[in-house]
Amino acid sequence: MGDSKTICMIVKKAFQSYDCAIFEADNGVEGLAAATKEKPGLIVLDITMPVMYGIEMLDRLKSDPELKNIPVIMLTAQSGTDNVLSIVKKGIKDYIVKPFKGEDLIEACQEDHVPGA
Amino acid sequence: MSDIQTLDLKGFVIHSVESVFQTMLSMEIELENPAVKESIGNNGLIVGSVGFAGKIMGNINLFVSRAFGREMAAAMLGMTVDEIGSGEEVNDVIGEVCNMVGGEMKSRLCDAGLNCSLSIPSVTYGNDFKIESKGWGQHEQLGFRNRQHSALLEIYVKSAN
Repeated sequence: MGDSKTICMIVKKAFQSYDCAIFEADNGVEGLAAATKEKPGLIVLDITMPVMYGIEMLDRLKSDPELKNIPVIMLTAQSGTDNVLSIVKKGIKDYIVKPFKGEDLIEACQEDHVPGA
Repeated sequence: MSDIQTLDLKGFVIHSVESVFQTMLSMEIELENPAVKESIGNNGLIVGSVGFAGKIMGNINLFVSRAFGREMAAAMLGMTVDEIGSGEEVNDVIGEVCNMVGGEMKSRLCDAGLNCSLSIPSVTYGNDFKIESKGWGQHEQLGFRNRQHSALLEIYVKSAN
């Protein structure tokens, strides 16, 4: 979920060889609606989004009983310690700092992946 | 907390630009000295800009030619240059590259005790225009080169106090 078509294309390309359906949303409001409807197995969420910031969308996901257990991987352009800690505390599966490669995203999706590794 | 006059802005910029170009675009980019701003926009110019504000304030502008922008978009999206359709794709890529460079810069500034927040990126494009920042305390203008293409990054900063 994110308004950057570039990032969406990179994410889609990373998953193209895997048997999965990908749903896109341009902003946090559409993202919440899509998550509610589709109940995805994983959400890749860009922090910087219009209408509803990624952090706010994450808070709403975590406060919804039907959505809170969906694993979330956050994408952020800011690697500072405070920024990362504030994200990790919200119970995400992992975070990826831009710039990143598609392989980084796939690795973060692995069940046994250690966050931040 | 660092004073902005003691910041290694040049080093911050070089590391950030190299990191983004190598990781996202798989492009080797080297410092070009002196920076050749005039030749970049001969046939169309695209500028990605991002601002930051907090204990330190400033702007980052990344200038590339339209031709280089298309190559960057093709590299980032895993396509050929001919497959790059609308200018919108190129503008989005330039905006995202500038966002990432800004993010790397912001992280380094925060680590130096100069906490700040990043703005959303903006992209300006056309054939004949200038972008100027006013009231800055420190400024760097660095040229970079990838094969036959040049890029220019400008950063302007001032202390919030």
